Amino acid sequence: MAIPAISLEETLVARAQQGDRGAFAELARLHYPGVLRVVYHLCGNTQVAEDAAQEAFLRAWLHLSEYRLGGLLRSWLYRIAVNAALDMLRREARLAPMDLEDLPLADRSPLPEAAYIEQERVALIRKAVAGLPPASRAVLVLREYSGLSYQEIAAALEIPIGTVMSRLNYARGQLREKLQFQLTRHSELAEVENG
Amino acid sequence: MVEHVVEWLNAYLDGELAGRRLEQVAAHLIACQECQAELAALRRLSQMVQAVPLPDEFPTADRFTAQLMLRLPRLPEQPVRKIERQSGWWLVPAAILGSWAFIQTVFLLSGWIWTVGQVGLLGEVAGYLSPVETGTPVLTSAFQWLGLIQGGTGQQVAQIGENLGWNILVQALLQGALDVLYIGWLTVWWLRRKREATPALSVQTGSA
Repeated sequence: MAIPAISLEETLVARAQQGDRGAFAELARLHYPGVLRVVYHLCGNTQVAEDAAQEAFLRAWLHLSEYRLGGLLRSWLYRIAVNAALDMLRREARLAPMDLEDLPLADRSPLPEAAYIEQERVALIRKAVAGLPPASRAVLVLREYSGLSYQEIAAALEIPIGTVMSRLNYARGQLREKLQFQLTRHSELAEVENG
Repeated sequence: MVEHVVEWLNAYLDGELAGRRLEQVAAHLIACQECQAELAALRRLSQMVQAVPLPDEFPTADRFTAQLMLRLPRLPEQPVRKIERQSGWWLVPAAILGSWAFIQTVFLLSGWIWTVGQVGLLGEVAGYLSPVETGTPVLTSAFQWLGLIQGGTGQQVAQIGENLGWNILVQALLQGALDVLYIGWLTVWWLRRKREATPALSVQTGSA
């Protein structure tokens, strides 16, 4: 009979809480993709995101004794990741204030037109997400890129579910305004594909 | 006037509605083209946002973990005093429970002895063991004396004791005191747990 994944995770956490670095390394390997998605889409910058992911796992290691077995490790880790990413952004902003308008759009290197348009579209979406206030951005990222339920988001950010809903409504409303042109184009392309 | 369900469309799209609200939104969507269009736009937006990929230049999980391990400090050892404090902390409810068990036993035994004495099975010994003979006058006069200096409160308590029976009153007072202690400990424990779970991890995202 297969051992449920959750019990393996709990075993690893229990071992890591006793100071077993190998068990923590295994946990980090398991949750790295998820944490990376959260921090990257919050930061919008690869270098800052990588530093934030490292910082998040370091904080998790130092505070592991505070995690209670039986809880949802993913939500706990994402909470730390969100804080690490926002702290990193604040630090970066102090060192070199960045204007959203200065964020690079598509790479100007020679590309087939379709690929260039796609790259530009992706860059515009990243820019629109990066332009959201941190509180709404955190909720949107946890929902869209990590697939957390409202309940999990509420637990991860320690906010009521009603606040999760209102922040998500706000974030999506803002994105719709900023990405109106891309949305229309996306819709037209879908109609062409569907015949 | 048609009442649209725009405010619930995000939750509907995310599969977060249930019960009557879900039925209400689903029924409205069948009839309302405006809300259908709104839902379709939200769905397109969500697909478009989710389709944004992670850049390729991130290290693999193995490389990232190897780098992380190099930076990982030794876990800070818990100071001995903290461990001692933690063990002492759990002695409080144990002591409260122990006291409660002790009080229950004492009163239960007293009750039995008194009953057996009433039946006459203890003979002359009953006179020495009965709480009615020894305890009551002392407690009554003590509260009556307190009443002289505390404006009648002691008198009232003495009266209640006389009417209700001193055994029951003292037992109720002791149990009440233990309840207060236990609830107090539970509150402090909950507050400590809440405080310990959040330092350095609380979300500082500000408002939307």
